Amino acid sequence: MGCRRALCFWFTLVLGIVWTASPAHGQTSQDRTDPNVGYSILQTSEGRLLDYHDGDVSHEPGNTPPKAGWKRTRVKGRPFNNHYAIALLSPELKMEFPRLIWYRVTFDPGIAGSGPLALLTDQTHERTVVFLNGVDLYRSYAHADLMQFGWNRPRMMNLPRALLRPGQNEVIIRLDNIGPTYLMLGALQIGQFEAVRAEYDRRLFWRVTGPRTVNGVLVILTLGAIVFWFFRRKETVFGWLALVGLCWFIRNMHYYDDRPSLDIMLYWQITWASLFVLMIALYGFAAEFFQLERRRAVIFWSAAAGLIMLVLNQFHILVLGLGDMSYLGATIMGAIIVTIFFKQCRSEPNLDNFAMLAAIILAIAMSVFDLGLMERWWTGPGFFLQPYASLIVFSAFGFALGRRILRALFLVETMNEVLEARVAEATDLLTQSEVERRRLEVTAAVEQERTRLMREIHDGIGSNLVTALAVAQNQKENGPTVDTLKRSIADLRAAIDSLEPTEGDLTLLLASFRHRMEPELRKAGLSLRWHVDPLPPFEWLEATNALHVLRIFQEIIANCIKHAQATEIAVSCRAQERDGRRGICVEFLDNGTGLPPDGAWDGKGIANMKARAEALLGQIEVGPHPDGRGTRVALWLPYERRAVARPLPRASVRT
Amino acid sequence: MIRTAVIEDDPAVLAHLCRLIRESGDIEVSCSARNFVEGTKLVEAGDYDVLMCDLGLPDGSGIDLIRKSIALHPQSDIIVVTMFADHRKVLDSIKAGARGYLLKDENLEDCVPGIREIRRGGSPINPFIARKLLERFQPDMPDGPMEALSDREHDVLGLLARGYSYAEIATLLGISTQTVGTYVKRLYRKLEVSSRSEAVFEASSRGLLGGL
Repeated sequence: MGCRRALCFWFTLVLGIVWTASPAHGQTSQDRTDPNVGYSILQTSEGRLLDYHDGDVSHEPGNTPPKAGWKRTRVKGRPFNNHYAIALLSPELKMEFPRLIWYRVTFDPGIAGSGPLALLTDQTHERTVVFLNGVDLYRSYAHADLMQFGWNRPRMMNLPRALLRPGQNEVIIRLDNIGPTYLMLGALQIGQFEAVRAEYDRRLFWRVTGPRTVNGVLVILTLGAIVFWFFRRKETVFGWLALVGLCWFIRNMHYYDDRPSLDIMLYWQITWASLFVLMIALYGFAAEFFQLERRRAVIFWSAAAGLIMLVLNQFHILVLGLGDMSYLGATIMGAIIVTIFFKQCRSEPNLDNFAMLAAIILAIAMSVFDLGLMERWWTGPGFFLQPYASLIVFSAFGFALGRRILRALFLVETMNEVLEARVAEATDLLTQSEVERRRLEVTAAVEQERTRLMREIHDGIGSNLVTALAVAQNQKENGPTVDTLKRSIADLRAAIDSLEPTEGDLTLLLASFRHRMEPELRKAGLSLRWHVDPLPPFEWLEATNALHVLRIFQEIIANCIKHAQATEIAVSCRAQERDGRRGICVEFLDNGTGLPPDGAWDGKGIANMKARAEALLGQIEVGPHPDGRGTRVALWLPYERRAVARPLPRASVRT
Repeated sequence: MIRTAVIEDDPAVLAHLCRLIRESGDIEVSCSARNFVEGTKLVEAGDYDVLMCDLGLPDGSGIDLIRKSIALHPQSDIIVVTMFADHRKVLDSIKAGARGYLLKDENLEDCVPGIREIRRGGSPINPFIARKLLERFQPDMPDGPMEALSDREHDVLGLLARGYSYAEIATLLGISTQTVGTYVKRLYRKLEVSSRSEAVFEASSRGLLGGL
């Protein structure tokens, strides 16, 4: 997704640049390629332009327009003395090359249009002098030995009415150079002032102002990268980025410098070399950015290749006397680096990688375009795209690096959060385990106490009671002795059962109670109907409370056996909410005689149960069976107790 | 006749038990012992179908006698005689191989139906022990050679832990009371086996059993 968006973005950007810059935009062209006429008429919204393609050329030396040696030929974008560098660098060859060229074109102000007229030249190599009807109208330099590039900026001059004649007027342009480049007239247009001016502004902006602005931005960004690298030396990727910016800055300068302060040969050497160093820097950046496994090797080999190509290019220019091939070398190295970015995009398809890949592909496409423009395969919008490519690539790299930094920052932030969460979690766990440990301690203490009690009971009182009972029963004794002994054992048992670790499970307590009471109930001729739901345990039901519950159960059953004359007790244990509070209700329903009319159904027992239920913060209800016959006793206990169980007043509890 | 051996240190309780058994008509006391030394000889002689064994003997542990009996006479059933449901001791003796228990503080008369039940293949249980078994056989117990419970066994244990009687469980689950008893016996067996293999597992993981 990121890939498509990034590609769309760059594509739209380039289309936008090309469209706004395109000379075809907003003008109609009336192409007449008649060599005798020599120009096409362009009708723009601002006015009329004569765009020259053919004219007369002469190589006669001198500072004033020659009278002789004129030849009719194509003038637009045609280079002369392409091998001049050889002559310059190998004086022993003593080769003669023309170091100046004259162009002559004519125009009729009637055709050119009304109002003030102007003239425009562009991509003229190199120094320019313009004559109108034999009058020296314009010159781009003052001293004969002043070095100057003329190709990288458009020139505009007014054609004063005073110098114009009706009918044919003659414009002669003198081009010469003292540098190692050829002579050429890139574009020559004559037309109405507003139309020329609009064309001039457009060309000036895209040719000079644009690259200069880009370079300004680039130098600031590069400084940023350098500063960053200075403070974080280990992040060599910033060093490489700074080198990319620096090389491109140097390289871009020749797009708007027209008077280099250096020796011209040195200036060009630096300009050519910067492209190869730039390529090496790109490899270095890619290797470090992607942390390539063999990044040292990548950097080494790219450096070697870059240097070899640099030397070859020098050889090509200086020894063979052929043109600058740096574009070709850069294109080869660029194609290889595209594969690196492409591979990274495949293994890690994210917006950053796609943006960088798109930017590099775009830069290569732009340099191919520039190569075509330089070699005059096409003119396109008429300016070089390389300076813009530099900003695009640098921005894409900076963007990816910035995002990486942001991600790192974000990671640090979230890491803090994660760490905090972990600390909180650990603290929680610690608290929990502390609570658990205390609980275990309590449990262990209870267990220990219980064991001690059990031992006491085993070896002492219990054992004696059991023996006494056995003796009594062996002697066939009946009545009060056996009953008392049995009751003593039962009480002791309840006390011990309450110490059982039930873990707050009321159903287990109830079950255990049934298990204990079953023989007694059987003997009393009572059967049970049992319904106990699976229920979650109470948190508060420890030994003291469990004993309260057991005593209540005991009381209910004892009352039932003693007074109710029932044959069946239905016991149920269910979840029940009361006043919005969750709880458990244990209900005992017997089919006996019911409560006595005076309500005094063993008042002491009921009072006891109520006191215990209160201590449990529960509720107990004693009343008639809803079906009419029998009694209903219900004990309701809440899951959450709003207050702590108070110890019972000693006197009110029967033990 | 079911031949029963009784090991019990309290003479009164022993006498009472013996009397109750003799009065049953279908069970006889084949031999009895009052301490560990006598008990060992009794177990070695092996003249019984059911062994009733007190745990708290003055000169040794009843658990050891249970283990010995299981090793020598695996076809005999063992009932533990103990005071006040000390569930841990009951569980320990079940792990050692006992299949029933008799609480001295409850009606000793229960020993006769208890003996008959155990010979029929059933086993008594109480809610606490049911609950302990449930906890022990929980599927999410930490690793160990634990045999899982079947759904039916789980249901039976759950109902037992909530106090339902064998007969009620039988009705609820649509099985016979007898079957509930055998479920319990089988669960005891599982507990015994798992405890034994757990001990082996633990021993081997601690390197106590060289070569295993």
